[in-house]
Amino acid sequence: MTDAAGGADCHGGPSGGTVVVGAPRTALVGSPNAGKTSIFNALTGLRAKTGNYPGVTVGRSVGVFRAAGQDFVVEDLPGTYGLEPVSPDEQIVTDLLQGRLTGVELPDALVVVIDATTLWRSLRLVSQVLRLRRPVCIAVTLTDELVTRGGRLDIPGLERALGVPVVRVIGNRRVGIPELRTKIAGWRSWSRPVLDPPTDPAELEAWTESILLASEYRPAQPDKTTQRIDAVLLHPVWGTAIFVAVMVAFFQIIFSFAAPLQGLVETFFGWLADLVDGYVPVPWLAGLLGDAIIGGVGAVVVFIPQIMLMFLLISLLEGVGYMCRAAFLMDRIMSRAGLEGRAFVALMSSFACAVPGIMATRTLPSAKDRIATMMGAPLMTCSARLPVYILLIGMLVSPESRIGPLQTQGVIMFCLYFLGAVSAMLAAWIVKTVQDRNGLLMPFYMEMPPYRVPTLRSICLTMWDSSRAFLRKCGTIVMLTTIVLWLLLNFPLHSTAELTASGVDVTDEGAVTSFVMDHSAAASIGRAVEPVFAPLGFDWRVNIGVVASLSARETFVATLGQIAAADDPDNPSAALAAMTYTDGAHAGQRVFTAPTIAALLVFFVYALQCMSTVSVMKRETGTWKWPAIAFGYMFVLAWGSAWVVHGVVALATGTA
Amino acid sequence: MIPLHPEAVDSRPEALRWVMPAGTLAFTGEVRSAPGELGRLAETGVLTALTVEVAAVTTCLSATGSWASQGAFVRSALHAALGNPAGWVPVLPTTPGTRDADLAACALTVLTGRVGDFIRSHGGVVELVSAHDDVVTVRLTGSCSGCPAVGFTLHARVERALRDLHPGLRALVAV
Repeated sequence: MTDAAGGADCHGGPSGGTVVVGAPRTALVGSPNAGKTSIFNALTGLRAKTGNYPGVTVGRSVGVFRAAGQDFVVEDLPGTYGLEPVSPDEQIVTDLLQGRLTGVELPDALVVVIDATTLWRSLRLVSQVLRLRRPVCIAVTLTDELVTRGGRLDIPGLERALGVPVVRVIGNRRVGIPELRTKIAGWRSWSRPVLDPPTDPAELEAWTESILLASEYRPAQPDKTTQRIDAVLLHPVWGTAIFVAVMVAFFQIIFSFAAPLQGLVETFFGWLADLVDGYVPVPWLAGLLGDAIIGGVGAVVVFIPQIMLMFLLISLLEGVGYMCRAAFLMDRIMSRAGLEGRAFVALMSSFACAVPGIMATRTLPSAKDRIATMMGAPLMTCSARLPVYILLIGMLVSPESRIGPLQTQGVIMFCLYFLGAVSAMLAAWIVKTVQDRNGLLMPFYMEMPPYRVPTLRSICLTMWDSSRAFLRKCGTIVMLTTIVLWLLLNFPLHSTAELTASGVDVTDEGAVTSFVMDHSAAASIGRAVEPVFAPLGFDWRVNIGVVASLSARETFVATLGQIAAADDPDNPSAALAAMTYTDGAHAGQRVFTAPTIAALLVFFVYALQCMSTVSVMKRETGTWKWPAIAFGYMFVLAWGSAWVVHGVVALATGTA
Repeated sequence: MIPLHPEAVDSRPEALRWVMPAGTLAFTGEVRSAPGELGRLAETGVLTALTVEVAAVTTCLSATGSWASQGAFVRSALHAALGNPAGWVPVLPTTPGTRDADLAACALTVLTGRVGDFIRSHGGVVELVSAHDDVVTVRLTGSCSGCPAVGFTLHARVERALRDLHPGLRALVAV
């Protein structure tokens, strides 16, 4: 193999410009949760480029930092427990480190990030990386926690025993980062072990034990506080009760705290709409800006307080360490159904968005489990459903309505999330049972970190990242669909003579708008699919919303917002609630009755209205078969349950 | 299997120091013959020297060999040989009086090693006065004189390290 001189063509010197091509490349290797990513962020100061590895959709992040007048490229590899790959993620790391990944250069130097509280296990990974005979440096993280929990580790002792440089780093507190930068800058002079660690399991164990002895390692005592809290939180009965309580509180907070902020955003868009009204003289442009952009996209963007609040709460729960406890609780139920815990972790990620959830199935070793999980993941309530739910629930019950001490709106929201989660697990279980009757459960390894107070910085970063993704989606796919819809809703154009002939008073702007919309291309589409959705109580305008929402769920809100804004620009939400059937048997009756809203809500719980999910599913499974099956079964399920709910609610409320 | 790992020896690339728990072998010094494959490696000249220290065995490779290619083989041979400690024969026969000498060697290992480094890094000077009948006597001078932490350093660091090497230690005394 190559030695230190290999792959070194970077004698360009410190020539002012940022010549990243040819800069030395360092890869961060480490197990999940070892703190790789916080080191990566601290090293590169977030100047990272993210993308995928060629040919596969395993996330890749590459960043640059400057030290000693030279650029250094750092790459954050996916987390791995070892170089004997069991999952696609680990396969990538192994291939990359052995230079077998086409299109990706072999890194010049490797930094192995290990968690001081799990040193025994981490040394196995270290031994495998050392055997690659590349320049290696060790970054030990979480030494602060090791010490608080009564453990100890002598860094110089570890360094001498391993024969490679060792740096103590606490990524999120920025301890040791300058030292690590300096170390990476001097990667050419890193010491190397004289001899590879053994491969024979017994010899490897003896080696590991000896390294630990030489570094005077004393493992961390189990954290007393964590143990005591876990005794309650992981209790089959109390734990589950607390989990439910936490989730209920979660949705109460989203509803009660976000409302005033949402009012502010609404006021802002109202002000924008007034500006457009007052200053844009061209009628069609005013229509596009006012109805499509502000009325449509704006209707989705007003939910940014809820989205941000939700991600804030999620990252708080995750940062504190509660999320993996929840996963552990759920794992008990899941394993009874024959699904493994990794599947639940993937389903949990789908809470934010099904796309990362489906990608997270790469940690599953069994292909059949992967498919089963992917089939369930889109049913988890993703953040795109949130605006739809909030809008519809707002029309269904008033904010003042309460069930005991709880706000009814929050309770309904909780039920919808619960319904989504249960359905997702059921779906995964059914697919798994049909496909793989006697598959063995692979052992599952999930770390229970001690409870920690998360740093403000990391929480804000996670929240910002997720909110930015939401805004980006509003600016791209939602915006595009909304503009297309605006065109469909306003064309074909009608001459004044035509309008008069149809009995429309051309001086009444509202009447003209209604007429144009009623006879638009969109209306034809909405009416064409009417037979399908009529049993659910949807009129043609709702149908357009549903059809448009196939691209992305938020578009539903944008479409209704657009239609309502055209009807009554000053008070779109009132216009929406008061919307009536324009023709047919129900002409004059309100569209958004309780049965229809309930049916719509359930429809959105089940339907696969997200093109990104479909395309990721295709990419991950390699065929159109699975996305087609998913889309089909979810549509049938959505329609069927919406129909049942429509009937039941109609009976219960007496509004047939 | 005895826990062990190799460490490089400064400016002696032909030598490799196999660190292992103290007292794995009952003697220190040059090895005349070792059991099994390790013994054969020494006889055939692949290994030019075998030396036992308090908590290590140092092996020297012939000029033609390289640790990268032969190290794994030597390690397996060493593991096998350590499974049979009675088969190791020292060059100098063990005499009854060597228990004190062993204790002195252990004490020197500690005082010249990492613990001694720590004391010296704080401006202290530590030297061995005597080692007799499982009692070690040391003298602490330099910045140690009058330092209130000296008792702690002595017991938490020196004594602990010494007891690891020589479990029979009865007392550590400072004069």
